[in-house]
Amino acid sequence: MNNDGGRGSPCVYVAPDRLSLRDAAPSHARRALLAAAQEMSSRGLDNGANWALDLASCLRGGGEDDDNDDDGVPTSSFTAFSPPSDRHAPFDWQTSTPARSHHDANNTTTMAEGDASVASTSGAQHIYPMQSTPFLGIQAPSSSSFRQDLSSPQPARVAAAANGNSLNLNLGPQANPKDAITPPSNSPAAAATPLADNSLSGRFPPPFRQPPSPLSNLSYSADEGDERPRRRGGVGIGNARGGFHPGAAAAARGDRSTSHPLSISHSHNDGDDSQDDTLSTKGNDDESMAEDAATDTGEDSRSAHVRFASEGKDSSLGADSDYRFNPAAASTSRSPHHGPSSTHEATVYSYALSCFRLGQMERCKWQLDKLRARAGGSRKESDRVVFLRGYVGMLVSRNRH
Amino acid sequence: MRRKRQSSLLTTEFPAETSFLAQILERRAASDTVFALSSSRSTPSHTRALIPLLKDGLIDPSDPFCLLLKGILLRKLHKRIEAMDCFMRSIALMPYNWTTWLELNAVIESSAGEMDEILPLLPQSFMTLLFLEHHHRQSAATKDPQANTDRLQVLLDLFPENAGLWNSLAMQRYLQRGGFERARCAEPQDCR
Repeated sequence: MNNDGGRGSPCVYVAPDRLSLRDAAPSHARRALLAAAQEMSSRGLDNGANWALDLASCLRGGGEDDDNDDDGVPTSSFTAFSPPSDRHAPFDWQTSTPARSHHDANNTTTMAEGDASVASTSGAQHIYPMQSTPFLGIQAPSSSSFRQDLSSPQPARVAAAANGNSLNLNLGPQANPKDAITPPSNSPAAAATPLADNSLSGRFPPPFRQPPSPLSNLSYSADEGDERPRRRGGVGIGNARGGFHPGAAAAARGDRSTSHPLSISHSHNDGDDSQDDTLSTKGNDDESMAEDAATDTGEDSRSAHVRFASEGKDSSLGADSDYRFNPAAASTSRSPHHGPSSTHEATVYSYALSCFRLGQMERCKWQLDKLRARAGGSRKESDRVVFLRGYVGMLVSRNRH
Repeated sequence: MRRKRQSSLLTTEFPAETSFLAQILERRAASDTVFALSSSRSTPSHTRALIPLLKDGLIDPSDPFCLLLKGILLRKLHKRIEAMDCFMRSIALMPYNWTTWLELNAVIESSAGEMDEILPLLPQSFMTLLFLEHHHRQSAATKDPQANTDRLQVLLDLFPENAGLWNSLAMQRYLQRGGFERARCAEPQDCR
């Protein structure tokens, strides 16, 4: 064994195998392992991702001994594989494969679109799209009953009540995730909507046609129900429930350039899930929706899409609620001057979350406890670490007793 | 089924004194039929199920995960060399997938010296070192435990808090304890 360099020198020559290690720098190894773990996790290889995270969490000095040692890392000798040197760059080296198009690889919101399409095909296709109106350019479903629902919501509600299935009333965005990419309310397409189409909606009286999209008003009642003070920040709740989608996380991080409306539609879906409960308990919500529309005239210049995009930017809850394993976000969203302990915390948290997903509750709890012991109370932990530790602790205690 | 039908015809055509032979034949035919059914239910259908998977987008993959999948399928089809090729291509593209290394370890015949042949083709990564340590510890741990200890020292310098590496090091040192036994047998006076 011969270490050619000192600490931080990436090239280690191993005598038994005459092997020179080009990725022996801890920061280099950490980034490569985290990126690989993300790729594996995104492909369902949870064991492999867990293994990589385990290795990354055990790196010397937390894997972040020197942020500038990237310059000292020689480029990888293998041509096909080159770990990302720019931590702000997307992981093109992994995702740009012939199997996946470049656009799909770079656009995180496309993943949300895929999730939405999966959600729409998983059983929500036969659900009455409440938001789909001619304003948004939604085509009427082929089902004759859906056409009846589109033409007049009130008979649809009666029909659903007769069937005893309240789910048929809502979950419109799940049924058609492309709602979010339809022209917004102030678009020329929406402005050119004839009044005859307004009559097709049949939901709102003329004074409440602004915004012309009833989706916004419905989403208000869907997201928050009767809790009016929470309306302005209600998208945070939606993100809290829909935080598993990377698109929503991107919106929550405030990256407007990457905030795709489709990622917002997921939050919308979750809001509509709460709408399920509302509609199942309420007998007739037309009046409440009319009241919602009347009270929302102060901010009715925003459509549902714009509202979610802007509030997703301001929402910090959405960022905290992004519990989906995303080590790339942990490494790319932080500035170079970010403290090393927080990066280590993100790494350990990712590993603990991976253990949690694999059902290794004890190990997850141990990792989080070790993280707290390492912090020693000198630095405040993030909310997600505190929550996960408490949640895992609850599950472990419940399993023991 | 055809043989069973033939044996049934045999029992009806032959007289009663030959019924014992007919019963034996029928029983044998029945067992053959069961064997044929069971074999057709396992291997051929399994092969038939795997081949479309290979044809479906895995003919010439360039994605490391697709290569891994193709290698696994080829290994199940007993195409060891082809599977090894897929695993090594996948490792060249994505060396940090430990699953691929384990699959590669499963198709390597260490007795034939294949490890020495493929070693120059492996990436210059600590993953290769991990793989070598794993392979030698699993296959031929008693041959050269000191080399594996050296590998583990290098890895522990990079991953000092990895419990698995420490376990491996303890195992290697336990195996090296056999050297004391040999020294004691050779010269008991020096080992006091």
